[in-house]
Order: sequence, then C-alpha cells, then structure tokens
Amino acid sequence: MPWAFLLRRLASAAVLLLIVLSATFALIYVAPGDPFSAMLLDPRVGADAVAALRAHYGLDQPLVARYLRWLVTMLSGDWGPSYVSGRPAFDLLREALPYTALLAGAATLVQYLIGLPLGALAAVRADRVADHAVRVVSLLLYAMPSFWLALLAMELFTVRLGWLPTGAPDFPPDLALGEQIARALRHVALPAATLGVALSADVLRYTRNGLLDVLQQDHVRAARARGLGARRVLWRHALPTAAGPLVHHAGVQLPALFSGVLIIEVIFAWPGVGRIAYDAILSRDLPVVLAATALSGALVVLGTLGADLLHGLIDPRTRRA
Amino acid sequence: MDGGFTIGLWALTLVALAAIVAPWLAPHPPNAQPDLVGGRLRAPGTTLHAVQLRDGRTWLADAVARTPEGLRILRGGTWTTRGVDEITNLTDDGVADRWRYWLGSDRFSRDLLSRLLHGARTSLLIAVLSIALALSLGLAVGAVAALAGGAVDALLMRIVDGLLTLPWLMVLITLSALVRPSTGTLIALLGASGWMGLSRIVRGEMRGLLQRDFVRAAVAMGAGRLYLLRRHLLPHVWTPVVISVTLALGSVILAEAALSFLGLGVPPTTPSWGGMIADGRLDMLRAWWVTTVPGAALVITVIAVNLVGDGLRDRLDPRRA
Repeated sequence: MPWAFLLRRLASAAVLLLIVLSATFALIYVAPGDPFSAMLLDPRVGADAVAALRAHYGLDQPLVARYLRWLVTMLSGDWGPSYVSGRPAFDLLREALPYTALLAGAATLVQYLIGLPLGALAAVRADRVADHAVRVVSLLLYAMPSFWLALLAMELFTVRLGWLPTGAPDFPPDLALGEQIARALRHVALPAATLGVALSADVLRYTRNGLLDVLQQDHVRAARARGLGARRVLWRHALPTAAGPLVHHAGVQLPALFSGVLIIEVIFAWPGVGRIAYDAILSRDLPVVLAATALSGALVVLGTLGADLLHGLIDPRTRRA
Repeated sequence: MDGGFTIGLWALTLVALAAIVAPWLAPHPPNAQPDLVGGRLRAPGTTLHAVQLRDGRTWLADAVARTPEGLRILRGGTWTTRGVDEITNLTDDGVADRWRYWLGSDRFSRDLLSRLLHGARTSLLIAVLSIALALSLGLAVGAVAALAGGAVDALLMRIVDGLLTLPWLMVLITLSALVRPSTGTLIALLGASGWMGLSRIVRGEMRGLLQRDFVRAAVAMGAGRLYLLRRHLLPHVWTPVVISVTLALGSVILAEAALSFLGLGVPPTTPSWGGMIADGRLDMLRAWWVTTVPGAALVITVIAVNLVGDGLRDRLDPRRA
C-alpha cells in the first residue's frame, strides 16, 4: 500500500489548508468593519458596551497576538465562540453537518441516477438519434445555472403545485423515527433534485466519453467477437473498466459539489454548513468562517483522497503506474 | 456536431455584437426607473402611453382619454385628470409618445431589454478579461514548470494540485464579501482562481514537446530557453489552450452570474444577468419574465460557448475528436 504517498498528500493538504485559513484570517482582519460595528448605529447601544464586547472576544488585540492565539486554540480543537450568537463555532457546524451530508448525498445520488444511464445510452448508441438527443440534454443541463433552476423548481413545486416543502424540516420531540426520516426526505427532495440535475451534465459527458473509449478496446472487442450479447459485453466487460476513471472523477468534482451545496443551501434556506458559512461571511463572524472553511476544505481533501484510493482498488492499472 | 459549431458561432457572435453596441441598441438607459406606479412589473410586449409632465416626470399610462380641459389618465389602476398646461406632449387624441417594454419590466419599472443588453456587456467583459488573466497565469506557470523541470516543476504542480482541491466558489464568496468588488477586482478574483487547469495542460503539452526530435535537435544546436519557448513550444500548445479556454469561458460566465446572484458580484448599479435573476426572485409569482429573461440569456450564451468549444476541439485536435 502506498502509505508514504498517502501521508505526503495529507500533509501537503494540511499545509495548504493552513495557508488558506491564515489568508482568510488576515483578509477579515484588514477588511473594514466587524460584527459589532453595526451595533454602534443603534442609539441604545453605547460605545463602551461595544468596546467591552470587542475586548471580550479579543478583537482589540493586535493581529499577530490574535493570530497566534487562534492558531493555538484551533490546534487544540477549540474554534472559539461565534461573534454573533456566542455559541461555539464547532457546535454550530456539528449541528449543520448532518443537513449538508443529507443534501450532498441525495444530490450525488440524483446526479448519478441521471448521468450514468444517459451517458451509457449515448455511448452504446454513439452517433445515433439517442446519442444526439442525450448530448443536447447534457448541454442544456450544463448551461442551466443551478440558482436559476432552483428558483424555477421552487416556483413550480412549492408555490404553484404545493407538492414539496422547502427550508428546514422541524422535528417535534415526540415524532416517531419513521416520520422523522420521511419528513427529512420530503424537505431535502427539492434542493437535492435541483443540485443533482445541475451537476449531472458532467457525469453524463464523462460516462459517455469514458465508455466510448472502453468500447473500442481490445478486450471488449474480443468479448464481442466471442459472440457475447451486447448487454453482457456492456455489463461484464465495458462498465467495470470505465468505472475506475468515473470514481476518480467523483473525487475531482467534490469542490464543485461543495460550491453547489453552498448556493442551493442559501436559496432553499437549508440549515447546512454552506448556509452557516454564507451568513458568517456576510456578518464577518471570523471564528465561524474559519471553522467552516477548514471543515469543507478537509472534507474535500479527504473525499478526493478516498476516491483516489477506491480508484486504485477498482482499477489495477493505476497501481502499477 | 458541425451544425452545432455553426449555430454556436452565430449565437455567440450575436451576443458579442449585442454587448458591444448595447449603449446604442438599448432603447432606454439600463437603470432608468421611468414610473414606479405605471411601469412596474409589466409583461413583455407591453406598450404604454408616455405622458410627459411639465415638472419633468414621465407617467406610463395604460390608457388615456382626451377631454377639452386636458387628459384623463389610467395609471396604476386609477383614473386621474391632468390639465392641458401640465402636459408637454399632448395631442388631439392623447399623448405623442409611447413607451414599449419589449421584454417586460422589473419592480422598479426598469426596461429588461435594456438591462439585458447592458448585462451582456458586463458578463462578456468580465468573462473575457478574467480568462485572459487566467490564460497568462496558466501559460507562465505551465511553461516555467515544463522548462525548469525537477524540483521547481514538482513544487509548482503540487501547488496547482492543492489549489484545485479548494471549493472555489466558497473562496470567491469569502473574498468578494470582504472586499466588495468593483468590476476590476471581480475580474482579478475570477482570473486568479481559474488558471490551474490551464497550467497543467500547458505543462503536459510542453513536456511532451520537449521529448520530440525537432525540439531536441534545437536544444542540441544550442537553442536557449526563450528561443525554444517562442519558436517551438508556444506555437504548438496553442491548439489545446484555445480549446480549453473556450470551454472555460462558459464556467466563468456562470461563476460571475452566481456571485452577482448572491449580491457579491458586480456593484448593484451595474446591470448583470445574475443580478437581474436575483432582482426577480421576489416577484416570481406575479412576474415570471423578470427571472426568465436573464436566465434564458445565460443558458443560450453558455450553450453557444460550449458548442463553439466542442466544435473547435473536433476541428483542431484530431487526437481527441
């Protein structure tokens, strides 16, 4: 197993993440205003109260002192309290993470449920009517901005038809588990479908091109020559070979998935990590911004790494390389 | 897909032309709010009577009726009367001027056609300039990595790999929320976040070229690095670079629209397609056209860009056709 390689990648990812976090820290420091400057506009709040708040959160300290303190506490797992709510940034994100995981997971499912069959269909029927139709669809899906699609979907399914809710599901304490799951699924359906549809063009294109490539390869042609049926050739010989690059691609597109999650969470008022990060950025809630950046960065790095390892397991060719 | 290339090229040329001549083609100034009462959320194709009042204001009326004393005006659902001496463009049967909303109006009575044309200018200008910036950075880093080789190459590519794993939309949102970008800084932000893929392509192509006989011959004859770059390397990487730049244009247009949609892109006084979609969010129920018009423009433009990019690949690059 390539443990040294794995460690090196993890280490360089950690260094990169630290650089990004430090840059964010510095940027928020030099940017004008902090979460408390807006309070000064309120005539009921005195300047000394705001100064006391700033001192409480250490905002009156010089940059280097604040940075060093953040670095030390961060490495010990304490991301500090949110300037806005006063609650630990870590807790805010821990509560939001399941929502983001549900949304991202469901969206990925939709993405592959659309992209894989359509891409395979286009490859098998290359240059026939079905192929051209699928390629037109994929072009449309690619060009459709997810935020626009989200608005249209909300308008149609929530407002006009009233079929699906948006926003956060609420769980009264006495709700049965099955009902909880059903409620969560109903609420996630629209955001996940929107995001999945918007991201599926990429999978579709990738599946089609990868499979086209594989269908030309000797072992597939040999299988065909032995008289195996088209379906068997596809399932037993072509798809497994094409699966490796697809898994790799799933890792590569994780940053795009995260960006999409952020926009969709903002539009659908979905209480995930992206929405928390967006609100925190707008209100300059530095501890939450840093924690959210670190969390999403770490998830993307780990996800990419996981996809690469899986790719190695599925596709023996990459191991020798 | 040859037909696709032609269609895409035509559509893109039209959009580009419209963007260039927008100030002359647009019937009204993009931010003009002629009449918040009479011109608010008008459907595409609406023609209104433009009553010019002596105090300089314009009233947009659904109907007018001439009376001996002056004019009865149906505006915003109610009839009012104005005297002969209060109106400057009075005729025997009404007023001399008409106000046409070819593509409808938004809640501030702004003309969507004019905003769409000026928005095309914003979108294309930002996309083209930020791609130019990304191209310069990508060429520079790729060429340095390929020519220097060894440790420099390894370090640069490690950095590129790291940057590629960042969720860029989130980084862009953080940055633009902090610096409140002008059009110039937005171009810099988008350009600085989009060069990594290009630098990889440039490096890969150049390293391949360095192994080819004609380049090795030039090296053996004592050619310097700059000469090699200018004479042998750059002319040959042009094809893959042009193709990927064209395809990147689509994603930059979408990224700019997403930022402007979130209110973090160009300043709100600059008309942009993403901003227009955001403007229409509140009125989706009453006025579908406010979001649909800019959304459709976005989709058409991105499709055109992709058709051209795919067509270029089929034409210029026989290996990947």
